Amino acid sequence: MKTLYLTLTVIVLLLLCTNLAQAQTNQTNLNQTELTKQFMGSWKCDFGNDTTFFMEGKLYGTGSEYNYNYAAKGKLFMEGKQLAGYDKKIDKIVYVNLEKGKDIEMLALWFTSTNKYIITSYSDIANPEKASFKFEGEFKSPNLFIEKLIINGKLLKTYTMTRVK
Amino acid sequence: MKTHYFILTVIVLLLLCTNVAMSQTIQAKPNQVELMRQLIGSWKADLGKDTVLYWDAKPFGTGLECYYKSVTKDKILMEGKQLFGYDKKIDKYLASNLVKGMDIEIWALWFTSSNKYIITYYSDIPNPDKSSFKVDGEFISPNGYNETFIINGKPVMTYKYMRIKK
Repeated sequence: MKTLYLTLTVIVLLLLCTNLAQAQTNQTNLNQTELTKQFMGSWKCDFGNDTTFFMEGKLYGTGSEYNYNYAAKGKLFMEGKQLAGYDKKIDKIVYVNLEKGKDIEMLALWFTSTNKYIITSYSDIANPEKASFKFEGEFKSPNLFIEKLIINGKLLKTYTMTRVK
Repeated sequence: MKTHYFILTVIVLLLLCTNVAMSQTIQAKPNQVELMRQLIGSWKADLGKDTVLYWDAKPFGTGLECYYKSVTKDKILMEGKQLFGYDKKIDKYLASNLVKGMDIEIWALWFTSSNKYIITYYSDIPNPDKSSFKVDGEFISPNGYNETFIINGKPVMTYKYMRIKK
């Protein structure tokens, strides 16, 4: 009888452990498409020297599109577009960035928690820590996020984006 | 004197051959940015069964921003957006293709001659002929081009696009 109880206890414990492990896996399985919606709206970032960066994000299907520009003393001097969407094969947001007068860039973005994310070149997805450039982003609130630009492993600059509308 | 003339003739011939070879090399490398401009404008293709595909391409920098939709009896069946841009490292255009309700796809497009081009998945650039998806495009005139869709090596359909406006 004692052996039966022991066996049952072991089985129950094993089942409990399995459930716990599954729950932890689900917690790290973030909904990338849903979390990307935090970027929707109009944002601006003051770069100093009277230079401002404006970005507008709009939903398109399950993806999103972005228009951005840089202005100095109210005069536009650079503009760009992005088209982003989810790629379930890699569980990441993939997007292209096209700035007027420049070559296209292929990038990937993925949330590592509900408010933190990483951006790197598409080619560096497998090893973002070794990427030549990386952005580490964090939503501090629904109306403010920061992006740390890391070049060759060193923090180069921190940008603060505030919601305009 | 005769040897002199002979040497001169050989030099002239060699120079001529070099020039011909050089011009052939130039011809063999299409100017992707210039050729891409042929796609700017509004186009439509009749897909049959009262279905029409509209494709609109506007220039943005050296790239294109595109919107397309397939319509049957005034009802939109499918619509999507694309953003094309040139990548000089690979001398090809890259594009993100986002169909409403679907995952994003990354494509590459490149002209192989002044009027022919290939579209395939970005990951299949090294070997487009072995790609599960390839499009062979050809401009028939400045106002018309055909796209043949090749799935797993077999042509499955051809869309004939006619220009609506520049």
